[in-house]
Amino acid sequence: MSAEHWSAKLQRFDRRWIFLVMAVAVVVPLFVPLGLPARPDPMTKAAFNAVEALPSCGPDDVPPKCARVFVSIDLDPASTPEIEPFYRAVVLHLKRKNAKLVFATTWYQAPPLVDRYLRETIEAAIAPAGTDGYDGAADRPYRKGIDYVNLGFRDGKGAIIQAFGSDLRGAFDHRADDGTRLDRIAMLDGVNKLSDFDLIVLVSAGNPGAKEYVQYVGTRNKLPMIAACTAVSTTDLAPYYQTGQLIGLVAGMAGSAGYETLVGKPGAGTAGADVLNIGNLVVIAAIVFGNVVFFAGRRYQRRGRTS
Amino acid sequence: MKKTVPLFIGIAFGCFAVAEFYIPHHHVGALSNEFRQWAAILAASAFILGGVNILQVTWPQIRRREPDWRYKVVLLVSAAIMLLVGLPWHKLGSPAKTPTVERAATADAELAARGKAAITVVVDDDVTFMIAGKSAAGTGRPVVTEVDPGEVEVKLSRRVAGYRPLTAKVTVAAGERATVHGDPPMIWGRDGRVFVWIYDHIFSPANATMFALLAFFVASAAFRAFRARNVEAALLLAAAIFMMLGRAPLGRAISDVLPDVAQWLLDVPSNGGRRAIMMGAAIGAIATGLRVILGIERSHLGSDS
Amino acid sequence: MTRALLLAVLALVTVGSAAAQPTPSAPTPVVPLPPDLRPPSRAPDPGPPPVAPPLAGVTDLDVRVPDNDNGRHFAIRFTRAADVGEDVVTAVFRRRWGQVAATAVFPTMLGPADATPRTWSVEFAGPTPPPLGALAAGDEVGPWQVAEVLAGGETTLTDEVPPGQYEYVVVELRRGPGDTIVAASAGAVIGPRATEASWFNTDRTGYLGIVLLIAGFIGWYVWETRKGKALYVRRLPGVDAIEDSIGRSTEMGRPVLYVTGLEEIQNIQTIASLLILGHVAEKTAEYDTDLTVANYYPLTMVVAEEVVRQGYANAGRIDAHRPERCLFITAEQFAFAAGVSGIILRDRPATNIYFGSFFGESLLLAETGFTTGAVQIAGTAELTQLPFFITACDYTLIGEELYAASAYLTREPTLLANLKAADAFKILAMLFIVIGVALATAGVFDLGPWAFR
Repeated sequence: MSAEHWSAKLQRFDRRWIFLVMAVAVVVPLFVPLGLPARPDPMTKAAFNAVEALPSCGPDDVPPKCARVFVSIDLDPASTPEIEPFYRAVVLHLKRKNAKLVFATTWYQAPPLVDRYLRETIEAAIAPAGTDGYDGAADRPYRKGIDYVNLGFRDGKGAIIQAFGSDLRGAFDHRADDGTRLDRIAMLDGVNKLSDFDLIVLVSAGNPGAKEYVQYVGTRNKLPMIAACTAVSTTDLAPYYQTGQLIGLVAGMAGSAGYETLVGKPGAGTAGADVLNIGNLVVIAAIVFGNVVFFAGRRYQRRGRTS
Repeated sequence: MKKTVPLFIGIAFGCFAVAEFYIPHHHVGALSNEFRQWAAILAASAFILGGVNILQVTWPQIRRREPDWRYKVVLLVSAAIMLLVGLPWHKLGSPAKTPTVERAATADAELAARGKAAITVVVDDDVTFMIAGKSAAGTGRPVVTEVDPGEVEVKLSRRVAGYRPLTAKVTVAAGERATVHGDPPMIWGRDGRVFVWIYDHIFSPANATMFALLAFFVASAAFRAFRARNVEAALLLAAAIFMMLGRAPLGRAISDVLPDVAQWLLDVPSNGGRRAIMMGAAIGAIATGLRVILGIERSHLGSDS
Repeated sequence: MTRALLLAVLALVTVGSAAAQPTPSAPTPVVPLPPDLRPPSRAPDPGPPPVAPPLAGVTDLDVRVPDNDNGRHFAIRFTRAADVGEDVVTAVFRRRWGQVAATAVFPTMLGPADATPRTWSVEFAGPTPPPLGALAAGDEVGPWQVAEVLAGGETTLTDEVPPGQYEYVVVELRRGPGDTIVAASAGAVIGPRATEASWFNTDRTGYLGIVLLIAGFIGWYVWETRKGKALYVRRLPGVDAIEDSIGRSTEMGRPVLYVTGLEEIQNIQTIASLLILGHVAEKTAEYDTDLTVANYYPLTMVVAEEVVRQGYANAGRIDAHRPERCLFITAEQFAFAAGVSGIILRDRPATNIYFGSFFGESLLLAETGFTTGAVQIAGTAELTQLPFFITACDYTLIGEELYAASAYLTREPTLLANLKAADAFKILAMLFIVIGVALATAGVFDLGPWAFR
């Protein structure tokens, strides 16, 4: 009885070995960074340029001298490793310009995350003067109701996003998340719908998210929008970037790392880029290995038939 | 009858939903908003049915000690805990506390001469306070801040989420010294301490862990399925490798051509194929929607018995 | 002697007094005062306050109902003077027609220029003008209401109002020191204007045309089937495999798992999934195989249970129907994935069917199912998840194949006609694309009234 060919054994190869290799590939770069530069791709650069083009103003200036930016944070804890680094980088970028920020979310899992982000990145300085490894302009703690407003969470997917586009105040019952009447907030004077903002930033992990904004309000009102998405959604949103319906797209952790590089403050995205590199290599190695096994087995079978 | 009435309701509301897209009149918009409210109420009430279903399915499995019955206990206990901590218990019972304010018996002449007053805040070191727009951290010891005479707002809040801030408006005259004590109370409900703690320390890590499993499954699926059995499979394989290398920073380090190839794959073949599938799916969705709205398709309406 | 003595005294007095008087030709030297004794200096008298140059006001004021309006808007347009400065803002006021007597000529908003403090005119009947920054949309100013204060030089405004008749006034206001209003132009008045709601949105005529075209194709093909014509539909291997895999499950004595996707009941993919579920339920009833249906939303669970009951009834096996096998797992994505994975690993179904809308958990479910050796059939229109299903499942329905599946399964003529109609429109869409590409290549981008907006 002929011995089993090595390729046949490997066809039944326990995939937990692959899991182990992947685990090592993910953990080791966190302790031994490769330090490869995270060069931004054209879509990320376009997003950066859109924010950079906003006017800068002083801390006590008001719109229209200051830019007003709508930030929709539509994510859950699962997607934070990919797009939270972009969020932190873009907020630093916006705070350097003293832009007035309005936050909202359409994901029910997001409000606790949004509260934490506001405490850590808006009400506190992300990069105060003297921050190690950062040479850019320092930012400052923002004041609620003067520099930023949190409108809170609204359910309704496409319908509520449509409402944002036509009647933002009505969509939130004319009140911010903490109950303050919106007509008492001076930084919102003249803001009634999304087209009253200078830029819309979409931190979007899925549905509802950037796609719904583009489909329901962006195209109709020709809104200037940039979006960050998980890597798997890149192919979904890339057509909108190509047609100009999105003026910038930051795709996955690689995009977030590129944005951090442009802003000048490396963070979790840049640290995760090494993991991304090694992880991709493991997948490519798995593909190559699988094909080697496949072709070896096929050749062995053909030889067995001809001999 | 049991099928006719739902069919008629489906046709009526379906046709209204289609017509509403073309009729801008505000009466139609108001009616549409009203129907959406009804749908939201129905969906919310269905969650009660869902909870009952979970109990109906899980409890017999626990009673009969079926395989993995302990996990069913964890499921029910977790659901009960989240329900209980999600209720705003702090709204029951005693009214909200405000900080206590004590005033010194005599005025401080030196302060009065300078036209200032002083507010001393005594709070724990995990409490921050804001006086007249300026914030500082508590230290457990008295912290004195000089202010202009008049009404001054003092706000005490904890560093972590889940506590209600305490606010006091203290009116001080020149030379007056006031001391503010306070301990922001814990609140319950969606913004409460326990709910947020469970969200941050149990739900978030568990959610992230499940998503992280995808990395391992992608590797094992890639080993198993990406075989160049034929020309199409080989093209798919090559595209996958170029995309993975091109989208990661490693690709740029290897060659500047790789990111450009990846971008071309994204912009041309991927977008072209994607748009074709999207259009076909959209046309299919219109056709399916029309046949449900017009009552051509009725299998979703249930049985007559 | 005496006379000489008197003359001598007189001379002495005269000489003495002359010596005491200053010589007119020699001025007395002025000694400057020390600094602390000098009187305080005075600022020059400022004179009367400068008169603010008069404001020209706006012209060509036009208020009309926008096209395709819902009956709650006015489109306001006007022209400002060319040399108006940045310190001048435009205030738009409105009031309901009929509230007070109509005014043909609108008086100047502010009272006399030399009044201190400045007052509003009788028309506004209010106290002193508020600071300009405090004048906000919605503020009541006498019988008028502020519609908007345009500070950025805008010359158009869309005003949202309750339905009715309105009068509008547009005034230019000059901002002075301390944000005060120091000058106001004469008001340009227009009215009354009545809101008007449209009953048809002409911008969407194209979309209606598409829907009617598809409906027309459906009507055409239904008519063809009624004439007895057989309609050809190509083979869908994934749908054909459903019955084979249910048979396999029966032979192995293992259940069938059906997952309806992660969207709500109103999502078209969920509806398509439930349409197929009915047929799957009928087959499992015929083969006497257990069927487990995992649902993401409770409302979907309720409908799925009814659909499964209908399927069992159609097969004449209503007695075999077990409502508790239609499960609501949870409405949280990865908890749902964990729950369904648990069902797969415990119950080890021989067939897993994933039809509907899926997201990041698709590969988790498919890989877990693969480990148990199940036959897996998936169908979704979520383009980002198709690669994962194609990689990990045995059969995949791509996009519209999911919508075609129920017609393919029943082979009912009306449903097949619906399918053919969609295909016919797809051919028309391809033709439009070719025409569009040709036009774009020729540089023609403006289609005038034919353009979709």
